[in-house]
Amino acid sequence: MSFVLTLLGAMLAVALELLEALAIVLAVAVSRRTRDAVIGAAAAVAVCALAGALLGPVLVAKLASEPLELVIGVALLLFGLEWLRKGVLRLAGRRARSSAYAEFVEEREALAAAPPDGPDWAARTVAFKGVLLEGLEVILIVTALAGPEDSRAPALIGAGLAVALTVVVGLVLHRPLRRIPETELKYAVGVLLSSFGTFFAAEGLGVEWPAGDAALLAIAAVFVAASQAMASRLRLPRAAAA
Amino acid sequence: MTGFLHQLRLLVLGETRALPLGVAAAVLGAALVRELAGPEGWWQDAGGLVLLALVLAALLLSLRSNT
Repeated sequence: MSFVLTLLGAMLAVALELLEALAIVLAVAVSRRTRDAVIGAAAAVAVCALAGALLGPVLVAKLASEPLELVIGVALLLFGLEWLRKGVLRLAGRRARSSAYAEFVEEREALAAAPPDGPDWAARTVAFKGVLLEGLEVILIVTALAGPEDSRAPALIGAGLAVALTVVVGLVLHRPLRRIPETELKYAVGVLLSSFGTFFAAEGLGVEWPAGDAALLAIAAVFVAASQAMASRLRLPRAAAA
Repeated sequence: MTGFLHQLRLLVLGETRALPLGVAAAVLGAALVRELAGPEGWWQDAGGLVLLALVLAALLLSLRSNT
């Protein structure tokens, strides 16, 4: 049970973050030059790979089991609840729906000027910054999900599948980018990460969940029920939302 | 650079201070209840529900601060 949920959580979270990074890189490539977009993105990928290689082993080696679970739980709660908060606000109509396509259009408009003859540092910087910020979030989420020993394989498999999925989406853009129900997927990731966060943080505080890993499903159900109730309470009337 | 650091802070702590503060309060509150209850006994079986309730309260408060 926990294997499937970890894999799903890692895959969705990583795919959605990479999709946003892809939108920025594509916008740079379309508005300026592909070469500069790729150089900026590749530099950011190298920094993220270094951060991942350092962060994961250090975190696992330095902390004993219970403090590690507490640290991982708190990190997942910080990410998960933020995704869930935004998801509730979007479902309630109090925040614009999430759209990598809109981000693509916005970046493209911001980079509308013609590129210089030499190296286009502005374009490289935009691609670098976009990929670095999304990439660091990916590293932090995957490191946290892969922290407990039996979660390592599903978290890494999920992340790998997400990378493959994003590459496929990138190859056949841009129509699929508009069709992805990002708001709903991000809400689901929020529920999953918050559930894992609560589960691990409680274990770090000495809790033994009844039914073991299956408790994750019950926690996720509570998050869905509570957040849906919050969204319907916050929902704006149609006239006010328009 | 300042803009980048601002975005990095948003990435780790989120858009509102209420949420990280709420998470910290929830975890510290749960740890306090655990100390009061003792690490053995009912805490082992039901402590997760205490933390879950505190986390949901943190989410609710962060939404209220946003609307």
